[in-house]
Amino acid sequence: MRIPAGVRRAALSLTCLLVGATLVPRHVVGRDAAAWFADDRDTAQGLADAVADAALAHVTAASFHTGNARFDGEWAMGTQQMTVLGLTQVALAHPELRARYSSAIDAAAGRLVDDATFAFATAAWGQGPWASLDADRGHGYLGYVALALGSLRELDPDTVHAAAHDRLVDALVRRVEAHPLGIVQTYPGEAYPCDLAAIVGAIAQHGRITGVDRSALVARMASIYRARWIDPDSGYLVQSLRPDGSPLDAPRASGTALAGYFWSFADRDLADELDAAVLEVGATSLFGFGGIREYAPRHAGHGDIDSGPVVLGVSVSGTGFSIAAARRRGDADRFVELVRTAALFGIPVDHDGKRRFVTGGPLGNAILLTMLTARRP
Amino acid sequence: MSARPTMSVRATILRCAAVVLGLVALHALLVEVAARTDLVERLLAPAGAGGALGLGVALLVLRVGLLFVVPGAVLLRVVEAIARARRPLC
Repeated sequence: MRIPAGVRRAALSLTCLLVGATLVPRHVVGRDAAAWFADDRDTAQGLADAVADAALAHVTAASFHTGNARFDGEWAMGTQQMTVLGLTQVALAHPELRARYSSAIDAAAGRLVDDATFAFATAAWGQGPWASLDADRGHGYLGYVALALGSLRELDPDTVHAAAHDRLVDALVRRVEAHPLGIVQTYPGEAYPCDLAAIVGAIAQHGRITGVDRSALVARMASIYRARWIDPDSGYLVQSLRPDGSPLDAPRASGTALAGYFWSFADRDLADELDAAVLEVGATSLFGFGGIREYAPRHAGHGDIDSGPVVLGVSVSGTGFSIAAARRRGDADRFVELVRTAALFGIPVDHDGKRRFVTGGPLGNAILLTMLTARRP
Repeated sequence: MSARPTMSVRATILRCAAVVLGLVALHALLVEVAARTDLVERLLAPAGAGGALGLGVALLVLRVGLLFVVPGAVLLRVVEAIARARRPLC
């Protein structure tokens, strides 16, 4: 039987496309992934320099234009937090770079102890977080701030922000202990397990720095997470909560992966469980490029500002945050696949020896630095 | 084998190389423009997002196409040219 010419050409075309897509892109994009995984100093320094430049250029809410003042403010705060976390990770891994980044770290940390940075939260709560520390009410996003100040303190125990760090963590401990489920609302009526994970991580980190035993609080919160907020089928973490602690949103990868990073400061076992969920249940791969499915199996949605765009079920944030999970687990293959995807859509460019991701903006670049240099157990 | 089909293979490879180089140059140009204009900031800005959106979409489509489609297309062209060259002229 003679195969029609059209069918033969279609088969040849498909074969050529598959061969090309399988062999070429993986060798062109994300070629520095192995260097990131190996903690190569020059590779880290390229992106860290760009993140430090952005920190010194004074990123504020006015730097973002999401169309929503709260998101603009959150992104500015997140940029400062991730800048401090990322740069301190680089400085701790390569102590010879500490002086290089100290001014940028100080600049970002200085903004985190200034109520002017938190206009978005002041609008929601009626008071700034620092002015109302003793009120013991909400501001659940403060775990991000505490974790950044704690990382600065790990790098520089004599930092001028040590007293503020102590006051902040004391306030967070009181707020966690005041609620039967340890819930600290981020905004009135809104609570997020990922934000709570940052609080618990910051409290545990502060305990290690100051010698205060926080193991009971950490163990209590870990048991609450496992019993109530981790989906038993997928291992994903529910994305948001009602004030009474019941799940409000589906189990999602963006919150799970970032919570895994935060829990790594407090409880490695729970962090491992969250990492395993996104990397074993949520991971998908095509032509050597990896992604993480935003929604746990049997759940569906279109994502939101936290997940970024969800394309074919894979989210931008879930994929980016899971880079740290792959790194902590020592999963080099998955790490390389995820970094390739980040490079494919992030579009890294080099200028004057500095590297930044064109589509990342200040927040995206700071997040990627933090995830690419996440500390291993 | 006559000279004409051999030239055809060579010409195909040269044409493909020229197209690929052109696309690579266009990609580099768009990346440079995006880098200098803080693309993501403009994409997020309610005002003036149209041009930035066009640039962003064009850049990503070109980037994905260049990486995942063009290599296979070049391979197909070259394989077909070789097949033509092996076919006896009558």
